[in-house]
Amino acid sequence: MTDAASPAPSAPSPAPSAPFSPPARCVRCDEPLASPLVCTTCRTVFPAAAEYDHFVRFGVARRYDLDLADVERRYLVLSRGLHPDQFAGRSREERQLAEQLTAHVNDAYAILRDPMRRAEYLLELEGGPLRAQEKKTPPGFLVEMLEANERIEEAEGHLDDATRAELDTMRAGLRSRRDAILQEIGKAFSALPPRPDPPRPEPVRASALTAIREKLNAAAYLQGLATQITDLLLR
Amino acid sequence: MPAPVLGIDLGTTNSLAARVGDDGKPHAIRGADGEAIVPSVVSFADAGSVLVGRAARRRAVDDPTHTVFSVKRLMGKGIEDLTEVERRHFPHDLVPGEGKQLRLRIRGREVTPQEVSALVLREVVDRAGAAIGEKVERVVVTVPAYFDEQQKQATMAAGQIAGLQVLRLLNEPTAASLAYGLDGLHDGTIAVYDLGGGTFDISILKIESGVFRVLATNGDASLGGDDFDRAIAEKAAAEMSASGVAPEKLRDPRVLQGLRVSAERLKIALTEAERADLVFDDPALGIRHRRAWTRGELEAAIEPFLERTMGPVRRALSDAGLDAKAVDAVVLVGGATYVPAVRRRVAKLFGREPYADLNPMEVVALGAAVQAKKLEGGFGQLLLLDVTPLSLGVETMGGAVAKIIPRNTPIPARATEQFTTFADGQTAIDFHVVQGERELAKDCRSLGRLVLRGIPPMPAGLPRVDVTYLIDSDGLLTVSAQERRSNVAAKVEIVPKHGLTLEEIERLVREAAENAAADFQAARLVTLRVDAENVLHHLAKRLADAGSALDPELRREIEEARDGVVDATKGTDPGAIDGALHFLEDAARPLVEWTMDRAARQALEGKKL
Repeated sequence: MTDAASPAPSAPSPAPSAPFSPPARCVRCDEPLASPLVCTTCRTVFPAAAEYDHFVRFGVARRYDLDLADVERRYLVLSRGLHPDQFAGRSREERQLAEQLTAHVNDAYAILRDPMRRAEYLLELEGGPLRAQEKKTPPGFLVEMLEANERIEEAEGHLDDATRAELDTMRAGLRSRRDAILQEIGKAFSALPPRPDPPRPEPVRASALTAIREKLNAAAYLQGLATQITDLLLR
Repeated sequence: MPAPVLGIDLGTTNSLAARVGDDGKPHAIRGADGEAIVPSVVSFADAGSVLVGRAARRRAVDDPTHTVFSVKRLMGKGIEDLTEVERRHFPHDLVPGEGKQLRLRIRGREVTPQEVSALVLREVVDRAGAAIGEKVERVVVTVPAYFDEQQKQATMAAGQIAGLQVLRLLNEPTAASLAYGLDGLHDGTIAVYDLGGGTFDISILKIESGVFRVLATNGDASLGGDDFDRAIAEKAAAEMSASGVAPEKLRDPRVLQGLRVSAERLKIALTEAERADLVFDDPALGIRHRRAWTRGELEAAIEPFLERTMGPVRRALSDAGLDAKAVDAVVLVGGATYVPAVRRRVAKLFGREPYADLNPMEVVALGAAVQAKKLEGGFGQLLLLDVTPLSLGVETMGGAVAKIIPRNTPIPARATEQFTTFADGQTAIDFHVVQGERELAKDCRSLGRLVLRGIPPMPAGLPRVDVTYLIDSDGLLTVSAQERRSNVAAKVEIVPKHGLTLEEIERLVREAAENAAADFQAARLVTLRVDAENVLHHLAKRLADAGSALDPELRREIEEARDGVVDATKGTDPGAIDGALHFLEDAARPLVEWTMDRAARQALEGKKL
């Protein structure tokens, strides 16, 4: 039988990549490498193993707290080295590889620079539960959101200037709440016990990951409300 | 050395080609007549001959049902995608095609918008090729950034049908930013406001030491200067109807088209003047209309369209995380931005005067030429990082949409999402690929379906299906699906619901090749000579009628232009005849208007008696 796609509720998260230390120097020209994907000096593209995670691609440590200016700088360096337009006159294979790797780099950049997506991605890498598997939020959170929900719903009917101003203030509040939760998430990630090797059940780590999941669900909820307000205000 | 790659702006109303010269700067390529612009108009004359460009535009009023305007609005669309107003705009039979791409029925033959666009492309390339003395085969073609997958695919198909190798589809506002920032003197955050004949784009970019990065883009793929003309024409028609012109006359395709042309003239006149006359005469139908419009009236008529551009501008700024005041420069692109009300509106929103040193009609083609040179290996320091304008997703249970690649993701892009089965023993999963920002699949653009079959029977929720979306550098999508436990895989290049299948494109490419270029040129030459003969005949009559009442200086100018046409028809270059005719048309316009005025005056005086 055929059915519409349904999100995988029980899909296991992908195997974690071993923390990667990129080769320090290009095998061809011996210049230092900023990323395992490409040598920006001699423009050699290295077919990357599929297991590279986004942190490895960008040559940064796998952690939640990142220097976003550094991430942006690395993105531009990688783009200059890898973008398919930089491979005019090279072989078809090389151009295709560049296209493929650039798509990975773009995906990585979109995730690493966005605090929500970065948290989601890191949680998955660390073997935490997916949103579909664990939908809970911290105790009391949803009750607290009731008022905001109602207010947004009411506002939809009459978007006068006063309501717009009120929504704008409310959105600022929701965002700062979200950012506070993301800070807690950042702390929780740095306090996370290392992954056991070989794997064995570890309740402390598992419950820490679940706690992050719940916080992240709350942050996602706040973000959703803020987006809803943005859509209303842009109407 | 291979022929250069040209940059081509394939516009709703006008198209042109450009290339980077030896001075390292992009230049529009001008034909023998000095004109860079080829009107995007195709006229299917009788006897199987086809006219493109200026010659076709000249036939638009006399032969509207066989002359196609603004075909870009039909690219990649089914009939149901057109608004009522758009449908009225085309005086042709529109038929729902087999792949749902609508077709035009003209002289008993069904043609796709892709074929019509291919004819325009071919004309632009042939003219440019003749001008630079090279046989052009490779091009960069621009598209509105806010075109969806189907419209972009349709543009790619037009290139193939024209027998060209399209090295890149380039977003129009991005192209404009390249032309703007090429000199390296404009680093900063810029907004490109691109209001063309039939499409609107807004892009926010960051230019930083040679890297042009699109932060966000938004727009409306059916909004442009065409709409201004139509609104003016409809207001004039309503006035004519109120003053007693029979409604069926006003529905005549010739009248509709003629009114549109008059409306466009009025719009252009009112960019300079505060008052101008809208003039429309059709002696055969006994219609004569002349009314003075103020600029204020025109601005009131087009106001709703200006307002419609503001929403996308605000959304783009919001997506870029920027305040309007944080933008360092606003670049205007597209003929419609000549309208003062447009400039005022933009200036007000951004709190600064727009940058006006670029020619809004040429800047997109110039940028395309820069990218063309880049793809040939030039401009090593320059790099363009563009984004996909619309979110791509898949329909999930209950008709909701799971976004897989969000809008404004840099391209090329890839993303993988995991799915599983819903029922025990389910062996196939149907993925419905959609594009757009709405929450429900039925409100988004349906791009196609991908069915993954042959999944071994397993309990519900156990199979693990990776669905991967891949957007290439042209912004075009490929979707693949793979079940990880069994390695069952499926892959589709999305054939858009409203697009042409590969077989159709191949057939059209074959047909186009069979209508060999030589035949085509010959037919064009014959038609243009006949055209010229007609024009000369009428002109001689008008000159004789005017007699000594005609200003001698004006007479001399007209006669010189006439001699130019006579000379050109002795040669075999269709472009030269076309150019000379155009020149004559301009020179003789005062005479034509004067004789028509006089005829009308006489008619009126006759009535009074």
